[in-house]
Amino acid sequence: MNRILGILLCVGAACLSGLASAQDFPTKRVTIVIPFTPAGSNDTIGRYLADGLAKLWSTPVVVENKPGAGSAIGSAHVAQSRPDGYTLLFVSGTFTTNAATQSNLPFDPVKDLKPVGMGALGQMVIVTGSRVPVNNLADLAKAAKTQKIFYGTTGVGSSTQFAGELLNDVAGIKMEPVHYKGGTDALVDMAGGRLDVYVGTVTQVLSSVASNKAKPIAIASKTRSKAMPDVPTVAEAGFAGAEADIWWGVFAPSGTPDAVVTKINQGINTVMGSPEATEFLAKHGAMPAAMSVAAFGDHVTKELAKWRELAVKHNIKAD
Amino acid sequence: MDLFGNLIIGFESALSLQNLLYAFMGCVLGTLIGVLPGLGPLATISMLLPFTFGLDPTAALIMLAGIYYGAAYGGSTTAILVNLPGETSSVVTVLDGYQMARQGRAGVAIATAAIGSFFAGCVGTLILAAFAAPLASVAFRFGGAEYFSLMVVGLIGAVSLASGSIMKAIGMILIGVILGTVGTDLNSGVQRFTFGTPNLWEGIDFIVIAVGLFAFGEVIASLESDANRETFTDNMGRLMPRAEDFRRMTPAILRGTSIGALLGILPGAGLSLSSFFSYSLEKKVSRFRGELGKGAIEGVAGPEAANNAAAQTAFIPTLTLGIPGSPTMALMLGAMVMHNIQPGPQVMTSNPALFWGLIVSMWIGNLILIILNLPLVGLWVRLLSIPYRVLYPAILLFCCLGVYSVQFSTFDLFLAAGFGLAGYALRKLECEPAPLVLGFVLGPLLEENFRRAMVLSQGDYMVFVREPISLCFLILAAALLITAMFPKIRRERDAILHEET
Repeated sequence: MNRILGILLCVGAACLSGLASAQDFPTKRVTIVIPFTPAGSNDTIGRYLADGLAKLWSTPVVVENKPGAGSAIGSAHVAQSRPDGYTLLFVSGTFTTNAATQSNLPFDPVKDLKPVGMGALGQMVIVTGSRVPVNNLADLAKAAKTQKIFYGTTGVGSSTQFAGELLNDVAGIKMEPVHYKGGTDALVDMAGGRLDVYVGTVTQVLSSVASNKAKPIAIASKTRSKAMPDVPTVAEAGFAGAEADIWWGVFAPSGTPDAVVTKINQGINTVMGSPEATEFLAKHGAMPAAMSVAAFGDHVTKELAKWRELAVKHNIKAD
Repeated sequence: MDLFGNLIIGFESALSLQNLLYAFMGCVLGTLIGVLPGLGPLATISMLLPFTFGLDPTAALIMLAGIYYGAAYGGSTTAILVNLPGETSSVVTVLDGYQMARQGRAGVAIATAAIGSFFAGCVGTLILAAFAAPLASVAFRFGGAEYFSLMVVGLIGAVSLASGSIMKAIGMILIGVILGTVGTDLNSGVQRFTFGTPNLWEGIDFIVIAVGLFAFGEVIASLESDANRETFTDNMGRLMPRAEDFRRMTPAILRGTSIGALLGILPGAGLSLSSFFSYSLEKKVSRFRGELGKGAIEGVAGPEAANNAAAQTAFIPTLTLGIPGSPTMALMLGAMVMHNIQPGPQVMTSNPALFWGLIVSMWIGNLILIILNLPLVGLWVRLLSIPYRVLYPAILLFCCLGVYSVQFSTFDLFLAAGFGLAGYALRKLECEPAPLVLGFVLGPLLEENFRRAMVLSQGDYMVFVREPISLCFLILAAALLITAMFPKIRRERDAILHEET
């Protein structure tokens, strides 16, 4: 009897503390899990957000790197954490592309995690090598109908492959993927005249473009890039729908109270919306893209559906 | 003329008191951390990177370059003293370096590594300063076919790493290749040998295998024989090389430097291949090749020189093209971007003080390191006189830290422990771990480049003989294979060589 009473009391206390944390969250240290190794864009941007939130909330916000299995290990860790908002996941768009290609993930990306807010958006650019002498996307699409065009990826199911396949779909062409360990390997092959097309982040291709080893023909985004203002967007080039932005967002274990989620969302938007943040993000080829909880949730759902459809259509599997 | 003017700009920038100080600090920090077992240059730089964020860009890069070389020097010290390669390139240093240490010549081995590295560093810096721009284009000529054929040469050469049975060496290479396939296949996305655990999706890290097979295996083996250990600690021997040692190391250093400087230019594979190729070369041409694997000074001098020359020329693609040659270089590149410097050919013209300052400071860094390291040789060697009941637990602890720091994963620690047992078993079976490690490193590169070449050539096998560079490597590989396959030819040739000498 006493034990049941004890359990009831505990449950009651937990409910109360839940209510309390909804109002004056956070009252203790918050942990942000980054499922990638230190250094690199995911880690740098995630740490910037953690520092900003710590200042905003006057509470320690610590970053914990839990790399492995292409972000699955860290994501699964957060999915199994206590849903109180004190353990959060900072992850890139690979969260949605992995969900589309890996059937054996150790967590359910829809059921186990709840979208909280958008951290930042990064742009990808379509570049071509000397083997296809084209100046715009329309010419590339025309060339691809008469000759075999190869595009580089950073692995099966990577964001670079999805961006390439999306371009295939929208332009009605069949460029063939060539897989590389990393984007720089692809850019070396492009400079050597062996690879035709690569869709990579603006930051990554910038030095190849500067040394005329790669020609930017379109930005795979809704807006032009500040780093390459003369390059048209895919829509301007006549290929609307080939937008493939990369993004970083925050997730919490599902079951985290909505009030806490909203509070964290506001915190993220405040930190990443400041002028200093804009300047910081620009250095990493990214920009702020504040979203409400609902809008970010919508964004994630759409991305999951979009990549899943593309993965099924082109049989992209990584398990 | 131009080179001279440029070097003056460089010296002006690098010799400022502030930059000199940062170069020194970088070297000291790099050596201290690099000497800890399990922590190679990559781990060292990623740990120390945040310290440089507050500095001005030139000073930050100079300090990072110092850390880079310092860690490489420190890494060879660990390889020689405790039989642990902290990175791929020092797997070879372990072979003869550790044998020298067991014979009480640890001091000579460390000094040789330092002298070889210094000489190669000087040559590498000169090449970098004089030919950076034209050499950069060489990197572009290497595609899938060329890399594939280079890997074939490397794998065939791997047999030479073994001092015992050839059959066992081939077996070890194949096991290494299989271990290298663990993880998600790059081309098909299929998971191979992952046994259902996400911990293996990204494959096995090099440090896990190196620490397990070499360090853990060594510690387990030492438990059963302390007689062996006594001779090791009692007899520290001379610290500095004799005239005879200098005579023997000089040709090896020259050969190592040339091979390293050439391979370093290639992004990706060059740095790790250079020391293997140098060792294979010594095994083929050195007058003392019979002693290799048993503590020959050539086995330390050649590969260490090759490694350091390659470390210098690896800066060529990084600085001039913005293409990093190794994960360590990628970190350096990241640091440049953090300081608002866009790497690429324009760095030379838009930021000459930084570019040439960095190049000159590399040479200064090498100088500081040799000044720093030669007196320290005595100190490092004295570490061996620590009773092993204290030394070995400390080594185990640092190894565990090193393994954990790679992925922050306890799974990796268990995996390394497993490899430790395997390393002990291999030792009992008289199978050497070095060929296994080389197979592990080269196997995945071989597969990746083969498949890429096949995709790009649309399934045409002739691509490997059509590309001239690739063809040259394949002919070299065939020649190596023939000399290995027909021991008779080799014996006769050896006999002829002996008559000549």
